[in-house]
Amino acid sequence: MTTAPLTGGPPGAGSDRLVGPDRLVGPDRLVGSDRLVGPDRLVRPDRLVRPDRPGPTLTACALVAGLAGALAVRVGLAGGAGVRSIPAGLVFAGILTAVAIAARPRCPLTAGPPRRQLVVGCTGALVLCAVPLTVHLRQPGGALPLAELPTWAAVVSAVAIAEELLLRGALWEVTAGRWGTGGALVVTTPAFALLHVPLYGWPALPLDLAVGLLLGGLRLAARGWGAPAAAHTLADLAGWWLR
Amino acid sequence: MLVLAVLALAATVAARPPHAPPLYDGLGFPDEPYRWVVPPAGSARTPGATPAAVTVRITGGTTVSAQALSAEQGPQVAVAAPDGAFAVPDGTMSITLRADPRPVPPAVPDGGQVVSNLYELTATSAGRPVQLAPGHVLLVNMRSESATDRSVVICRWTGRRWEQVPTEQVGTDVYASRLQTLGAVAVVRLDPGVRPTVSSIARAPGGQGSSTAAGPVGSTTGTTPGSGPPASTLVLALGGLVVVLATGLLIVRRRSARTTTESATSPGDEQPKPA
Repeated sequence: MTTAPLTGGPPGAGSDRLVGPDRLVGPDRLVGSDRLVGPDRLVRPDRLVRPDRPGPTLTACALVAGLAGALAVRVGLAGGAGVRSIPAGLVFAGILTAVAIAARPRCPLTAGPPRRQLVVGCTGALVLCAVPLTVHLRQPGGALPLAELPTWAAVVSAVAIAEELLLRGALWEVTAGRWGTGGALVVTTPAFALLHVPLYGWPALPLDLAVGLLLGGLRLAARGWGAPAAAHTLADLAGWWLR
Repeated sequence: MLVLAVLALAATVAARPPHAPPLYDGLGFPDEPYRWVVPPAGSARTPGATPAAVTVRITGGTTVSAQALSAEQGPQVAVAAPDGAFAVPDGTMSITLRADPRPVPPAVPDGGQVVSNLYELTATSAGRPVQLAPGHVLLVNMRSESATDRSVVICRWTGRRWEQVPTEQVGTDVYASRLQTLGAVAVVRLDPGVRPTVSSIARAPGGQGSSTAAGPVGSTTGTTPGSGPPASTLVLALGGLVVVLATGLLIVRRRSARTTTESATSPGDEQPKPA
């Protein structure tokens, strides 16, 4: 048997012939560094759909629908008590949490590195409270009954955390994966603002758009939903004294 | 972007009404203790009661609707004037509508006791009093010192005696009335077994408030307390349906995606051998 030098030849000439440094000729053909040709699918990297993730657009729509439905349930349950209804607030928080968890394929929603979330969150809370504090110092409100503080604080915290879990946890991850962080901000900020209109009226919209923008910024800075949750919760709790 | 958000936040918070929730978020606050002009013996000290005041604009010789709430958490008085509520004097540019807290007169109403401040309702233009236009009414909401299951009625103080006016309960401790004349009014809780001498405001069949019934001033939810379950029940049912559908869709898609993953990585499949 003679040892022939390696030369180029037609594709398929032999499974043991390496024709060039970057080409393996066979039924699985590596044509270039960014294209994998399989037996039934040509997949480009910007449209790679991992089999364990549902379509992001539909998931985002389902999350927003869940948010709207939860809000309707809260308004319907609260009736005349409106934003003051504690049972309605608790049900609202529960529904938001369930919808957020339902959207996750496998792993539970993680809030992000704890220390970073806490530092960024506390900083955000200070910013959120700064202007109300100056207004309060000029024109303080009367003291509220302290006996109602523990229940009120527990429900306020549950609602704030559930809102962030869904908005800047599940919805943010789904939309960011599809449209980037800018798209996530564009979706979550108006969703957060519109969420408050049925309970507080249209005058609340500009303020809550600004708050939503800030909370989205905290989400970006902290790379986790824990920071906006911390800021949101602390600022809401501070409202007891900053009216 | 954070700087922009902070600036936007500062602008909007600074422009919001006084004593509004700092972030228009979370759970509503409980009512603060009632602020008396002259606190009853034994009651806790509170800040002073606040007035409700608004400037009513005039367009084309007719007043535009306006409303005002006092500044307490759980406002103690709110007034609302519909379009054309006032008889506009010649040369009037605007009208100031006010509800000022006053001490409760010593005269005791028949069969009851006063459970709020006396609020003096006035409308003035350049210091001159303005009257309500014929056939028009002023809507007033007043909060009582505490909730009660006894009959409550808003009474007008004439200077010598108390006169009951048709009243509707629109909140746990909030009562509404439509006044045909301005003046001083207060909330009176009747003694056990005593009924109001005036009829309550008529309500349409089905529990819904009629278009002429008094209601809560400045309601933001679009629902009237006590207006009956149908609207809120419908909203509740629709919301629940949407939640179930959305959650179901998310779960179904998650399961189908998991099934696709499992079939794609089944151990029975063999990798094709190169030719």
